[in-house]
This record gives sequence, C-alpha cells and structure tokens, in this order.
Amino acid sequence: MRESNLSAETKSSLVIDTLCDVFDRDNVAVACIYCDFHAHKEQTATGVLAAVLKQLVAGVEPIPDEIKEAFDRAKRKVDGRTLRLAEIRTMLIKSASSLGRGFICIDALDEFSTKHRPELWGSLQQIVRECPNIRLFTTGRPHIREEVKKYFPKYPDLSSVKPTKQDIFGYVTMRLKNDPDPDAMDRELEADILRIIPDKISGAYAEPGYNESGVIN
Amino acid sequence: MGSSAYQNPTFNINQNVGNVTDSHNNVWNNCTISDEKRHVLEWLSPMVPRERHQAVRDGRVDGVGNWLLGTKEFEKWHTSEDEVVNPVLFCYGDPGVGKTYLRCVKAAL
Repeated sequence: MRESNLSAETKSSLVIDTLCDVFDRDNVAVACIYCDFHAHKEQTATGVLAAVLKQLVAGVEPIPDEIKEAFDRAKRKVDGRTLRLAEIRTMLIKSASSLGRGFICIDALDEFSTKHRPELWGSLQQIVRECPNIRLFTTGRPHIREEVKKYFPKYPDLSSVKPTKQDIFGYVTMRLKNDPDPDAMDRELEADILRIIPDKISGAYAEPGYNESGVIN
Repeated sequence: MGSSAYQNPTFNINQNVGNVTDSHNNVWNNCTISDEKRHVLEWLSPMVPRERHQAVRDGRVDGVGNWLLGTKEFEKWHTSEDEVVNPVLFCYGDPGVGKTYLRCVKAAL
C-alpha cells in the first residue's frame, strides 16, 4: 500500500466497510474504486464505470438482459468489442435505478488521469442526477475540491478530511510497534516522537474556516 | 429496455448476516454466482477493487478516522433517502500520515 495516501484510503475503506455493515441487506449495493497514479493506462472513465457497474450488478439475479446481450454479442464477434463509455453509463444508470440504494465510493480522485477526469466527472454527475437513490463518496487532495464544486454546484456541504491528533498518535504508535529495527529506538526518542509528531502534523492540517472535527463550518 | 431483470430484480448481496468482512466479500464473492455470470462480470471489467480494499483494510489502524463516521454529514449522507440530501460526500486532505511526515518531523526533533 502506498503510504502517501494512507489517510484518504483509510477513510474510504472505513466508509466502504461501514456501508456494507449498515446495509447488510438485499437490494443495496456498494461499489468501490481505488484510483492509482501507477494505473493510468488501465484507469479510464470507461474502465472505472465498468468496474462500478460490475459491482452494482454482482448481486442482481438474473444479470440485467442488456449486459448479458452485450456479452453475447461481444463473444460472437472475432474482435470481441468492448463497451463504449455511453453504453456503460446507460446500463449503469438503469441498473442503479433498479436498486433500493447504491453507494459508489471513489478513492483518490486526484490520482485518476487528468485527461480522462472530465469524462468521469460528467458521467458521475449524470448518474447522481438521474438516480436519486445513488450516493457518491469521493476522496482527493484539496485541489480536487474545486472540481467537485464545479460538477456538483448544487451540493455545497462537503466534508473535509483532517486527521485528528488522536488519529496520528494511533498511527505512529502502530508504526513504532511494528518497527523493523527496534534496536535503533530508545524510550526517550519514542517519547519525543509520540509527543512532537501528532502536534506538528495536526498543525500542518489546520486551515482557516474549519472546526476541530475537520468539518466545514 | 424493459427487461425482466430490471423490472423485477432480486438480490443476493450480503445474504449472510455476519461481520463486515463477510458482508463485504459477498458483494463480490457471492458463492451463488454462476459460472456464466462470472464470465459476464469478468468481461465487463477485469478490475478487482476488492483486492485493493483488502490491502487497505489490512493496513488500517483501529479507531483511526472514526471521527468521520460520527459526523452529521456522513450520517445524513448514508441514512437519508431524501432526495434533498446532498448525494455527494467529498473528503479531502493532503497526503496522509505516512513516512513522509515521519521524515519531515525528524528534522524538528
């Protein structure tokens, strides 16, 4: 796991597990995507929507006819043509609408290719607009917030991630516990690390306009 | 359009009421999925986000980030079926509390 995005990934995985736990019942589907700089080739808007669609219909019986028919058509053809973005989006909107509720969680949108991002935003915008039973959770670095605001101007109350001092303390404690080279550590240094790091880091996250819990005032 | 699957869908998601791991795996690993359906799903997307999710979950520290789940924004976002509620929840922040920070702060010690 990349450590640079640990905080956001942690949030995403927590949210995904919480949703799966809370909505442990029929007719609710949770789809997740973890974007990755290193997978730009594979991660296109079409690929992401296809992966979301796959997860949303995984529990639907029988699989929607349109998807099955598209599969059969592709199998018959030698080139095995894959679906285009508009086709997947249409199937996704239809499949999502038949769910009681659906959650789409996309982690690290800033790591998704800049080139394909407008297509992805446009599709997500359309899905949210046409499927009132769909909820979208995304994470990303601060500059992505402007893009979210641009594509979802109607929805201003966005939350922000800001690790609390306790979050950082817990994480650093875990790292110290799993130190591969414990002999290089002594009590004094450990105490210094646990005292200074949570302070410094939580200070680095402080932004005007945000309260202690990291939620916009 | 107008397929029976859309008109009258049934669901196998999360059939087994259990812990988070079980319920989550069922979303993708439902043992009732037929081979044919599995082929269709694999054709639809070769991506396997559950593997990434598992890796992230394994690296998670208990309690870290729980504050988010307690916010009223998250509560409203996931429980309310009201169309007026904001359907989009965006969490943003700078890179997390990994090595980068340990390295930065080392200079301050």
